Amino acid sequence: MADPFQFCSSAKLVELTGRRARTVPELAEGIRALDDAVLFHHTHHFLLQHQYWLPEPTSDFAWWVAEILQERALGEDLASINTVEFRSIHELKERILAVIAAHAGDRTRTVEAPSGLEFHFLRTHSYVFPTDHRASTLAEFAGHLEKVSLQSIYHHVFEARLRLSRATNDFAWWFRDSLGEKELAVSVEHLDPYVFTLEDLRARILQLVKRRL
Amino acid sequence: MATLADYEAAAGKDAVHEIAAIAARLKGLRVVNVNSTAVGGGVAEILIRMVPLLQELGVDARWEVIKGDAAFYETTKAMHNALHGVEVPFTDRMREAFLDTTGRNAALVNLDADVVVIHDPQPAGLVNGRAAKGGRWIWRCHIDLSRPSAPFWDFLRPFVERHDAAVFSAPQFTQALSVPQYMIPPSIDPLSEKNRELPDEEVRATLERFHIDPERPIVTQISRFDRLKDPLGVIEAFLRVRKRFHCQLVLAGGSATDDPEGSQVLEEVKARAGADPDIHVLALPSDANREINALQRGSTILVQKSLREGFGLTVTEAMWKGKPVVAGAVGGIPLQVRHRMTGLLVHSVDGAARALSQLLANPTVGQKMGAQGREHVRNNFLLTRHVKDYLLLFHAVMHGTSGVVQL
Repeated sequence: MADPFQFCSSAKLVELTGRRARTVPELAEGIRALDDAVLFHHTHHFLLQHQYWLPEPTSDFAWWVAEILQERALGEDLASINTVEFRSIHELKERILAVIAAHAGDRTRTVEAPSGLEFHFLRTHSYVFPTDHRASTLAEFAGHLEKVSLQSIYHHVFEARLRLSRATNDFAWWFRDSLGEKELAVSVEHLDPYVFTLEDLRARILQLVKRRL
Repeated sequence: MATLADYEAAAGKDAVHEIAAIAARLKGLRVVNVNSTAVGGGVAEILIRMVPLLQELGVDARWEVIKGDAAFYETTKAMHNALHGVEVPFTDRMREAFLDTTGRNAALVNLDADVVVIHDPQPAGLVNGRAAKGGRWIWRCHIDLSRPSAPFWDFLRPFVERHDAAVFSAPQFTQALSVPQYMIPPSIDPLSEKNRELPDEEVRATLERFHIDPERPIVTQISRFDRLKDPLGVIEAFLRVRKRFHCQLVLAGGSATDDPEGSQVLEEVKARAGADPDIHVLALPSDANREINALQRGSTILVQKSLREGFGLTVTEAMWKGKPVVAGAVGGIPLQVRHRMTGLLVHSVDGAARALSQLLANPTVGQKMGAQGREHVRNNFLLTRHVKDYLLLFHAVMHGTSGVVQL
């Protein structure tokens, strides 16, 4: 009998670090100095906040640089960072800093954000708890996936992979390790979850699972 | 009184179930909330609903209201304006009024709890007595503290820093503090008189009762009569727009028991409106929630042209009713109004006039913004989310935080 899949969910408490940036160099200093929970917040919170909109912006950094500082080229490069390619927050952080550094030479003057529009660094604390949904088979999994909250999907797809530094998202891990469903695991891993709304992501994964059943 | 299950229709079953799962870890926790008014204002509106829900969840929650005299309320009104950046002298008389009232209330208010939540500046001085009371203390700031007047903030900050944590409604409200700070936006109660669904006939009848023509476009701002809400600016914007659109303006507001300036501002607004039959200035009693609900639902566009704002719950209410919003890009408003998606953010009378014109000229755009705004509120600004955040905050101050916590 396979190990059952326990659907968990998580709730977020946002901490204000008190640190803010008015320029790109200050933004880079903050990213470098602050912990992974800060970086995770600024690259993922929009997925939960704007569940029914296309996931935009791809990161708060990209939006602020482009819209507030009007550094469109840097903003575009930051927005183009494909988060799904990274296996850890640390790797993502290094890429963001590298992109910012690559533009440093182009900058002839340092633009400052207008007063009141500074970038504020925030930190997400996640509180994880089990739900009533538990699946022992793929068919049960499909039934529960239809019903679990979007917060649960967010936790298993985004938080587990990056924040908890698991090699893959929780669903693919269970398909492969507990059910021996390697092809299904690969097909779920090939999805770029950052381009779907959470509801569409649910539908897409469900479609892949039902195709297998 | 509504129970948690009653919120499932508005917030979704998942949201309600998850709150219960989090609260299960906090059963029996004693929490007291302290503020300065039992009626009027956003804080009282939230506590009236939140405290019973916390109790239903097994948290031993209470609500205490401090009492003050005229000198105290004049001081705290001045403090309110000063913390919003208005230059106001901070006199010895004000200092004495604040400290004397704090001392009197320290003897009257029951602060025996595991967690004490102090709302806004008025009761902040009570923290002086925390050594004797014990417990964890949280200072919950509901106002825009981004540009406080130095003398008032220098007086208040030591009290704030004697708490274990501070809570703000938006990131830009933070000040340098020696205590951890958390962001918890406030919320609306979808089941309250102010926000529940109303029959169309009642909405129409309310408009007609106030001599507002339901057949013509209606632009409405619902707010206390307070200069920081810029009611005169709203009138200016409306007058420009009315040159091209046959519309009406409603400025409606009540008063909070701790706001002595309100009647003065109301007179200024009435004088500016004059005898214009298309401008309706309505001074409503503080409990006129159903009328406010009907006015919002009967309006075409809702305005919140604040110059300073804490969070701006009237914006949340407007969006929950599916109305497009034209709002000042201040305080917590940009957290709610995503420009061109759930409303239009403005920075001036000119901007407000243009935004109103755009929405009056394109009603389907306004309807789409309104629908999107409603979903945005459902996911982010309902009372259920607020209750969840407070539960997490209690957990954080009692047990510390560490990035990812397994409950």
